[in-house]
Amino acid sequence: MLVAEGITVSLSGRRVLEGVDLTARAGEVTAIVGPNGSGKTTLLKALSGDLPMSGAATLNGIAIATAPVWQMAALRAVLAQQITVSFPFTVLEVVRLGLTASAGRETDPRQALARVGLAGYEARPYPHLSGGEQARVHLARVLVQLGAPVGPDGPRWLFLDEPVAALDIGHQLQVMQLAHDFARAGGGVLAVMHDLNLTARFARSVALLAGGRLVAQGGVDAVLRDDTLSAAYRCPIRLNRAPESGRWYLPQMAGALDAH
Amino acid sequence: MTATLAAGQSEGDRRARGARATWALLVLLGFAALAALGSGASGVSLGAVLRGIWSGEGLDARTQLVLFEIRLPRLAVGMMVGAALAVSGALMQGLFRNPLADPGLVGVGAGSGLGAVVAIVLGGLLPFQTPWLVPVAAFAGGWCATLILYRVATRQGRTSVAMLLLAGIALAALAGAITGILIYLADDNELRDLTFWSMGSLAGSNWDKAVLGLPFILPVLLFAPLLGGGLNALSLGEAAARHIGHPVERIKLLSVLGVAAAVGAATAIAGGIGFVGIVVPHLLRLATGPDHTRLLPNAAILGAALLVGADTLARLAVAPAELPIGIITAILGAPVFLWILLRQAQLAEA
Repeated sequence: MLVAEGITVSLSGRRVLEGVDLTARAGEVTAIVGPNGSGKTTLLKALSGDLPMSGAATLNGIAIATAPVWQMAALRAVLAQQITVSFPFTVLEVVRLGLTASAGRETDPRQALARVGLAGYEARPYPHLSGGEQARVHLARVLVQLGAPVGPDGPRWLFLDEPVAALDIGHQLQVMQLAHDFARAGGGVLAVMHDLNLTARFARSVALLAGGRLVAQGGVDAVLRDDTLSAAYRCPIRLNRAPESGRWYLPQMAGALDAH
Repeated sequence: MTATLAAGQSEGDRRARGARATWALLVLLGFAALAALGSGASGVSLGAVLRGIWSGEGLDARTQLVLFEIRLPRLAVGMMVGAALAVSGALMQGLFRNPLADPGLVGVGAGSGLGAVVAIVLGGLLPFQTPWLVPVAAFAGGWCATLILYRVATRQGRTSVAMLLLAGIALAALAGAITGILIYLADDNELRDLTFWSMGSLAGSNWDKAVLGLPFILPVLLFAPLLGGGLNALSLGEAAARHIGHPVERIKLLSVLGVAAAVGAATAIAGGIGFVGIVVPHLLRLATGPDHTRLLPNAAILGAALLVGADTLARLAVAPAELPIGIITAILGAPVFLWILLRQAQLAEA
């Protein structure tokens, strides 16, 4: 269980996050959504231990701010939005970097590559891959770091910052399905999401941020509502229910089409 | 080359290739060492040495003197200095995440240069004279510069690598200016000493210098590979390396201190020798990939072999006089480096 209370972060003297409370349970995907600049990535970075913050945050009962890096690394893996690799490693070598802190973990790097759809890419130079392929290499790396979704010490956690930003629609679904499967198997997933349709499809719990504050948190049905979203994103948003599944979805182009 | 590349690419895992390279490099170092022991201005040949040992007659006094008091200590110093420079280059490139980084970036070059110049120009004012003044001043200068830089770049327990780089440039400029003033004040003899010091040489090598350098260089050579996993992770950026569980600040501190110790000592006993720190790691990355756990030990061996080879050439080229070794490393290193870069560009186009 991830419990964060009163998370406040200031960057160059400006409050970027103000008193955010967040709870995420293992066994489900928790999405952090909100408009640009609402503090989604800052919140994920603070919970990853990258930024000085005030407030209290624990992961499986361990205080995030003071735990040693190796202890956090055994518990959670972080997939950042953008990662540059400064030397010409092969794909397999990049994935193996995830192994270093958790030697003996059960995931084979080659299997992890196969799970993200990159079987046969092992020997390719990482710099020669497309942006979407590179993003999936790093997903394989964080899967290798965690090994199984649940360890002897409790659930392990995936922190994902816009994991589908660089991906085409097929790979978006594949990556979200991987995250979903990880959660179904008992692990925890905390994901910053832009795409509200994917959020509705794969997340069970949603935290909505706006202006550095938590506007709403709860189940998908409770947070993804016309009025809450319209207020947070400051544009008229109307949700429809997909006839075949009963899930909410956003006809994002509706406004533009109506104008013609 | 193409065949080994193809074999490695079927796996994507170049660890075995890196391990094979270690053995090949050790053989190379062995040949370089034998060539160094068997050649020199005295005319004592390797054959004479080996025959003396083989026949059981032992070596005559002159051969013994040349071998044990001149060539062996020079070989030891050359290997130490070459290994120190190459390993320090690889450490800096890993730390700065840039294949062009070199130990000069953490101020150790500028600092030890200034220390040496101060000792050469102002040493005459001291009430006592000692041949150790220049090496000790160079070593102290390198350490002072590095520690100042590290303090400047560290805030709240975190060291900014960008700050280290910028402050290093400022410090190098300042040291250069003070060096310029001292050169302006120097007389002809001091100028000559300065010039030779800045080009580097193993000519003054003896067992004392080898023993002086050993405690600073050997630990760095032995322990640097332990930083390899952390430096590999650092190539993903500091945050990602921390997320994987690496103690990033400790890795930075140990890398910088290791470079200050190794390069400070190398510069103190052999002067300023360029190019080894950039060329050796670059060659090895081309051959076996950027994995620092292999790169660091391999760099030590190749650096030692290259410097010993360059020193043998420096001794033979204009025998019985000798060239400063910095000239040899640059004359041979620069064209080879250019050739590699061109070839790499051609391969990338093909």
